[in-house]
Amino acid sequence: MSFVTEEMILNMGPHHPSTHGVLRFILRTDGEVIYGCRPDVGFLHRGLEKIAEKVSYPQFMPYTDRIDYLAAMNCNFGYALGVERLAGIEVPARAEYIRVLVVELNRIISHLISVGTFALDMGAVTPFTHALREREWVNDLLEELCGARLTYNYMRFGGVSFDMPTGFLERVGNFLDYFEPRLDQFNRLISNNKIFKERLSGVAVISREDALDYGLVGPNLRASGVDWDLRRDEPYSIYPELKFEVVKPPSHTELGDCYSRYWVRILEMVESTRIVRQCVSKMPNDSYWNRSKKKLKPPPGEIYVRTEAPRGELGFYLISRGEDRPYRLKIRTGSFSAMSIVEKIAPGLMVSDLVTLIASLDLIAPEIDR
Amino acid sequence: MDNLVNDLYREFTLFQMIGHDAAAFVVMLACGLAVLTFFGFMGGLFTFLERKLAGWTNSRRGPNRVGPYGLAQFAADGVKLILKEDIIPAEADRTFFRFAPYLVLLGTALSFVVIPFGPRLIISDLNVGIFYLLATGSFTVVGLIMAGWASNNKWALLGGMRSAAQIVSYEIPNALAILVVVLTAGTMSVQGIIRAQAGGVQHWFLFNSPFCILAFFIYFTTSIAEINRIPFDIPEAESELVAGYNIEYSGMRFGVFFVAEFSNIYVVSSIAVICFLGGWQLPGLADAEALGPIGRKVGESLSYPSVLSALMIAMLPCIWFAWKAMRAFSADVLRKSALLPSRLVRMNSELLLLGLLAAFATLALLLHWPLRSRLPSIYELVFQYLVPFLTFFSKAMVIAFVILLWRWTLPRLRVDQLMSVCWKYMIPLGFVCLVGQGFWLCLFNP
Repeated sequence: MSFVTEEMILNMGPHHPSTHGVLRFILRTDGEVIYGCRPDVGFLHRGLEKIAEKVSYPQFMPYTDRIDYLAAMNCNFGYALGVERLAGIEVPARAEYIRVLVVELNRIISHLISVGTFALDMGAVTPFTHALREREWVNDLLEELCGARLTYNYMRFGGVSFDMPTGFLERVGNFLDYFEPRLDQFNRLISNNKIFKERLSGVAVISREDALDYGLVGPNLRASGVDWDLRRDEPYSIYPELKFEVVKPPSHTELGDCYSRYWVRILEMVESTRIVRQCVSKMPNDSYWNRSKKKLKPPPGEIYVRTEAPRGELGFYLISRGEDRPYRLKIRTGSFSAMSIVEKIAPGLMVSDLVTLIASLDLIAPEIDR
Repeated sequence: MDNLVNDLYREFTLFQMIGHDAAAFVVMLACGLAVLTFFGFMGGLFTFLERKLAGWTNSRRGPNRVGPYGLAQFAADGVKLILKEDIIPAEADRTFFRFAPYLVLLGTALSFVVIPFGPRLIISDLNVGIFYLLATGSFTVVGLIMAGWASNNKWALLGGMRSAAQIVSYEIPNALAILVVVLTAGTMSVQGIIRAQAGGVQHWFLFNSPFCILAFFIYFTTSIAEINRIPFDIPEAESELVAGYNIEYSGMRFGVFFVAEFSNIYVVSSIAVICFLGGWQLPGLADAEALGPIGRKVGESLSYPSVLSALMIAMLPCIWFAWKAMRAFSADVLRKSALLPSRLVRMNSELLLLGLLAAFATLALLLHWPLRSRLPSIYELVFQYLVPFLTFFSKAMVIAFVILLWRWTLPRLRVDQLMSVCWKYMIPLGFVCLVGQGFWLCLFNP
């Protein structure tokens, strides 16, 4: 007996709860099984790269917050690093340490959102709110630094905009003391949950070759078994002075499946706490901002600077023609390349698995569209 | 049959002022109203409880704005839903779209007919009671499919199909688990099953045999799947299907789905209590002798007129205090809030006074009711109505609490995993239980 079934075009998004913002997927399905999946990007396109050509170098800093609003510090950092290298600006050691400290704190909360929404997409609400609860603490800390909780606009060329308030480092230490046991609690609550494991294990496996071919970066790439981390392999700032491991997918997960991508993020949070602790203990006492009174006009030239953001390689390609604004700025983000692999991996999955895949890739809409 | 409904019916017909049909009609109307009230109340209570529990597990506060501890939140929600626009999509099948919520509601509401709250507190003790419960339970799936199809929305359709597949599959192990109980009790009557568990905790069917414990867990798991709750809430998986079958519903139609769903929690918990936890029987207080001879004397000496008179006398100062308190409160509110019209506050206090006076009058009327047939004495009222009701209710609430808590603890399964859990594990286990219990009864319970 054979059933004649019809293909159904299923429109997922742009206002679908698990597309993490405004993504749209056009699915061809037979019942629940996906035959084809075409991502439709551009709903959040704001023309950031064009704006960069119209505003001066410092004026573009707030815009970088909006590249990835869950990791605004990392975007600030990448842009600041790019312009500094282009213009040859020296950064004081204290500023470097503050930068790495806030960037790693931001990585923690970005991963918290990632794993929290992952659980939310799997139907578990409580881990998400618990993750947000931990995130609030870091938000408070970062608010102390720069007055903003989400879009920080904290970095400046040659340093950061404000020094740390009194007692800030102790409060960071307090947070870490609080956070590490909480992460264990989080793992007991959801990461090792049987149902959660069943939902994630072996789903949407991305092979090492595919990951490289599609240009996956960051945790997604590491979960597929590629040992690559810009902080170690192309060191910038003070990362060579710090001790940390590049996370490998743990042995209890299948290489490249959703569960390994999930665990890589969990373990990266642990590594980030290590880095933050080192920053706290080694914090130097010189200036926080090598401030220049002159209008910034980098010499003509071009540069590509990439940093390890929570969603992988965040690259800024800058061309200067000696003016006070870039001639061209191109931003390379991790989510964009991750989005492209959905089309390759999705066929054969079920609709629920597509949700898992999207959550595991940690896509974020503003980073895709910029 | 021996229950309150029949007593009421007899009381009415003894008057001979109205015919038997009219008396039956009046009694049935009263029963229907009582059931619907309880039904709506349970739905509301569970929405409140769920949100509060969700708040606690999520380290939030939950509803705390409307009424004390946010207790009136569900009333506010209900008012909001009623006031909202009822949108029917242009391409929807209007007839089915409108009808579907009521079918879901019907399935749940009908279950209350055979759910007992005490030895005499049951609308109708059908001799196929537990069978009837299973049957009404599957009513909802028709409504869900209808909603999914009539909405003319692909997500709703997927939700409806998922719920059909899920509920139809999970009914099998569910019924198998209940069959174990029926086998043990030797009856399908709900009251019969409860009476078979008389005599203390060790006589509850949960502890009857290893197979019964297994059957309890099968029942518990599958009933959660039947009421579409996490970890089996795939028909309305909000992160996958946006909202599932009710995606196109708004206003009170959506509210009806919700009330039915939440009342269903109570229904499945009460079935678990009936079948495995001894129903309304409170161990130790099951028989009336528990209070000893003195307690019995005191209880029986209390007659209706004396208690009613005492109540009336007690009410007079209450009315006075309530009136004063309300005046003070309204003055306070008026002082604090210019938004609230003074007329409304005064009207509220007057309504309260009127209500209290009405209650007083009702008591007075009851005092002079020419009682022809035998109504329960105060003693019986406590031991045959109040204590069993509270026992049953608290047992059911314990089960419901676990069901509510699960939703905020676990993630959900995938469709195929859900099916394999049912067909590969639950159903074979159910059969093992049934056959095993048969042998057990032959061997140990002659």
